[in-house]
Amino acid sequence: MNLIGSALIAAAAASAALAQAPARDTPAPTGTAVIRGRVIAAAGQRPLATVEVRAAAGALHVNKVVLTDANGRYEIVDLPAGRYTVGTNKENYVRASYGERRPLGPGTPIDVANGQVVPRIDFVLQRTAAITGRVVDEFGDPAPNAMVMPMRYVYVNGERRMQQTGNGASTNDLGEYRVYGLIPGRYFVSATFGRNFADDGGDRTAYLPTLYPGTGNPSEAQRFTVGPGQTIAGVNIPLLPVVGARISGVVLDIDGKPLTMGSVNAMSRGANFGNAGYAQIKADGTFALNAMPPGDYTLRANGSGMTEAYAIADITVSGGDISDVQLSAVRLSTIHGRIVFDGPRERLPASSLLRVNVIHPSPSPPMVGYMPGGATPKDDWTFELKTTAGRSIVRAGVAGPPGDWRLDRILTSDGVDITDAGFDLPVNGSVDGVVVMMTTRHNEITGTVFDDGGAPVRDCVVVLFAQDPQRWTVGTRLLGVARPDVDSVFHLRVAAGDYFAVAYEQLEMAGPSFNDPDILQQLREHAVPFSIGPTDTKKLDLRLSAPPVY
Amino acid sequence: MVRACAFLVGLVFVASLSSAQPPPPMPPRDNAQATAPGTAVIRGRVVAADTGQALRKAQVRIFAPEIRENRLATADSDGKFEFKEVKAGRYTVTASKGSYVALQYGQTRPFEPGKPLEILAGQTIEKVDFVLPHGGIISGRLVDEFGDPLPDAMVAAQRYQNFNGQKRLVPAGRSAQTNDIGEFRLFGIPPGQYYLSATLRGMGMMGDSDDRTGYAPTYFPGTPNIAEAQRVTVGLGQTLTDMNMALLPTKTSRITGTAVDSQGRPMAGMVMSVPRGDSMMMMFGPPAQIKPDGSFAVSGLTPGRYMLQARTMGGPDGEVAYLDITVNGDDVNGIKLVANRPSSVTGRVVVDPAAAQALRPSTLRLGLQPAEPDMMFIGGAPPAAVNDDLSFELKGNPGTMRVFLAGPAPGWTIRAVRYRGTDVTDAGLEIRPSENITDIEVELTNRVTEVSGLVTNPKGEALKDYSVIVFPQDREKWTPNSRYLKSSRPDQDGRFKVSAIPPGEYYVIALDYVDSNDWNDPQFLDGIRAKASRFSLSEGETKSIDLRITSGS
Repeated sequence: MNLIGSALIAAAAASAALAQAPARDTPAPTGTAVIRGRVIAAAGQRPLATVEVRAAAGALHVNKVVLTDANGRYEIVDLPAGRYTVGTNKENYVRASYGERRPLGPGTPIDVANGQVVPRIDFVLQRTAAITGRVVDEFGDPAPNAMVMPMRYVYVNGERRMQQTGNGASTNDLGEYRVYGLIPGRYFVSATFGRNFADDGGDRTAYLPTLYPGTGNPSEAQRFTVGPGQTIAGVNIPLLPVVGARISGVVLDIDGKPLTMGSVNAMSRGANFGNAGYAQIKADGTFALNAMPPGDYTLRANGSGMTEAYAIADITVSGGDISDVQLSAVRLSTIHGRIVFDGPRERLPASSLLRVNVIHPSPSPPMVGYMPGGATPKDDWTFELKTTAGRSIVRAGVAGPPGDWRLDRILTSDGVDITDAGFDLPVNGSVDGVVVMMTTRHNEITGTVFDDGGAPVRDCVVVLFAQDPQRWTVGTRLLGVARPDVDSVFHLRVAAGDYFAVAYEQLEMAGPSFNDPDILQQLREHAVPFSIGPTDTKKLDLRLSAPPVY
Repeated sequence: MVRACAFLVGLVFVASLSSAQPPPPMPPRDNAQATAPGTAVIRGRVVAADTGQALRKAQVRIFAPEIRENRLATADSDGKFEFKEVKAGRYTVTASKGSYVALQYGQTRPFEPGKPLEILAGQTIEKVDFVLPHGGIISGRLVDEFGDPLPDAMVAAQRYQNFNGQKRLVPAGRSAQTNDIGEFRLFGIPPGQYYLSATLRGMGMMGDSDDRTGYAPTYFPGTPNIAEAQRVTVGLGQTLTDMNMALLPTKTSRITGTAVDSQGRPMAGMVMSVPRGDSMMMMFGPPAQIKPDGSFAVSGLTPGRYMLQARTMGGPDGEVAYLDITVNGDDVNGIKLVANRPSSVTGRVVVDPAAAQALRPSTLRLGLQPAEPDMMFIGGAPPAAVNDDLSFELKGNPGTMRVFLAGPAPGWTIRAVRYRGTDVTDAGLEIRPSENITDIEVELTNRVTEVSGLVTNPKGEALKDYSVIVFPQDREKWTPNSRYLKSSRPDQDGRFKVSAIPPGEYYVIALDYVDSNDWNDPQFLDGIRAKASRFSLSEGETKSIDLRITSGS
């Protein structure tokens, strides 16, 4: 699934109960039906003002939003007859869908006839959850301006790591924090404290991102389950000091001369993935990062004269100082190619909206600072992409709302299909003649999920993943995820291939990572094989299975 | 629920009030010193003002802009810190810790610049001590017009400060964000009088919505009009609680239009709306997506002045479209944002043949910055390197731009910038959309001026605490961002120093205390002119002037 495709699927999954907004320039259809009701807060049964209430009928492209008044009342008018889902949205309240059977579940649609007034479509909203506590340093003193974040496990670029999910909060002068706006689910809590990477006054103390109850190791961290409206207090985190090492060296430009101005960035890899510090490059090209905790890092130099070049090095800190790092700049490598279209010529997009970009599926984190954003082709559909050397997977898409065109295949100049295999881009070199094929052709899968009693299940997720475990890779296109619509029917378009198909109840908003081999192996237990060609239309009915554990 | 809006907050800090100009280059010194390790030592101790106890883990920074040195040390459990192998130079030293007021060494009043340390090779300076007072605390709750808590509002204690010749509101210390129950807590506030402000932008969905209500920036006790606001007095280490405010809704505007690049093609990306008001605390609203046909809609703009901005991707050749717009609650349609290709500014660096030997082109970088400090300068191209044959090419956006020397070129400064025979050093170059400028001459010199001296009182005793202002006799040059206006505080030996002002006729005066809001204000300078001494400065001259303190200003 290309990057744009997976983003769309994620968006569709997250707003299954609410239809997509129509383009503003086409006037929405109107009618004479009315939906009205009242919104109150669960706590204290108070009326809630300024709540967004949305009535959507996907089939009719109708999507109307109004706000509740001071009494919590709303009225949505001028609706054409149809089948509607109605839902609410207000900051710090859990999103509700009318007729949902569980928090964040899909709602029950209502049928509305012309001229009908449907009253009492009411909502009782739960507040989102909060976690509060104090962060202290190794002396028990409050740690002000520490950043506390809710975290979850994700599987990215072949590694399992912690990622922020939800808004963080910083501690005040007493070390106190309040992380709020949490939707019901499971969370780890992490605290990070300002790093002294520039410190050269002798103090080597650094603080690893510390997970409640006070460990740097994600497998020892405690996970919380928060329900709607819940506040969990006393989640106190003692920061863990570690003795850091000093990493120093020199940065050379592409001519081998020391870089006179710029900075070196350190990104930590592995479970504590993230920005680990930076240091200024001195006039003689040298730099020093102090107090770096043990771990694996990728160093990257930024500076003038580095716009078409890059200098990176992977290092491992295990206690002792490292003083001979050399970051030698190399020119960005180039991919030349052209885009061809397999579809109606009158529907070609403007060339300025097409994007070609590259995924580098190496264990190193994605290049920070250099924002490919992709290349835009010229009017003759040729393009030139500059990127770092190494294993490269090319992807393309049309910027903006989903349109007709999707990536079909990527071929080398010799006609070899490298869509998922990618190729090796040489250092300081180029690859020419790449063909990016875009198409409007697609397949269609529709189906229904049934429970043991034979009743259709609407509240579930359907996953299609490759039968061949070799294809469970980063950026794979052999992946499809969908949720059933208001009629309990799901729709999917996927790349042609051989899949396993499975459906299960996913009660959490944040699902598992679908390219985590551990998850796919669990799903394979109950999945059924399913194959589809590039333009087939197939029906796929599934039995609901047990969800994976993660 | 994942947030539908993305907030960006830009906070511009005025770190050192005595240098609103770009940092002056180092006076001529041996270039080898730039790479050899230093040999000086700086030691001191940080304690808390109320208890006298050591402030373990206080952060101490030494900063010498002229030689681009910037180092940090952490105080140990006895509050002591030490910097070793310090290079010779003129340093400001700052200490901070958590909720204490951050102070510069030698600072005796809130918001006063500190006193620099003049460090020579091999010197050891001890007792660089700091006594940090507890900062003040302001806490309270924000509610909306229904009495419900207002989350995610930015709250700050602000005061007016002179920024590049204009009075702007600047937050003191960090700002705070209200949580889901509307609570906020500001800490580490230096004593003073402040306007307590609350700013909230862009509720609702990303980019476009039917919602026409929002909240204008509001000042305690609850007015959008700063003239009616009450200033809040924070004493040393004082805690003020229950500073609650109810924000009142205001009608917001929706702006629609199209964004195209210089070829007329729809731009892909986002339109940003940047508020342009009195305050240095800018809260950007959610960006608006540009549709495939180039159309966009920005909603939720509270009444006021904004700059709409869209940029194409593409590095230094990227194009930017921007437009200044003022809204007052009504919608505005039909806006056209048209981007320009960045203009190219090419030319040569020239130097006196006698100095040419000492010049190393690889260390030179030139950049463009607005001549008018008012313009919200959101990113131009980074400074460009000068080629070995002394030619250069800069990329710039339309406007009146000055050329400045950005590179680590110790000992060099711009003597003049000329375009077709006209001196445009201070006036700047007129860059017109899509027009390139060629044949710029940038003359550099390594004969950099320096004016220094001691200040005595009427009894002839040397003074250790004062402020010196050097300003040109020509009133036309009393402009914001002027190269000719500088001020200085005494170092540890009571000596002031001002470097790299152009040759010419000047006034100089020593005063007991200068408010940072006044020192480059033409009205203030007019008032002290009669009491100032005069001097002339020639090319590359190093001048020593001793002054008598001027009483009452």
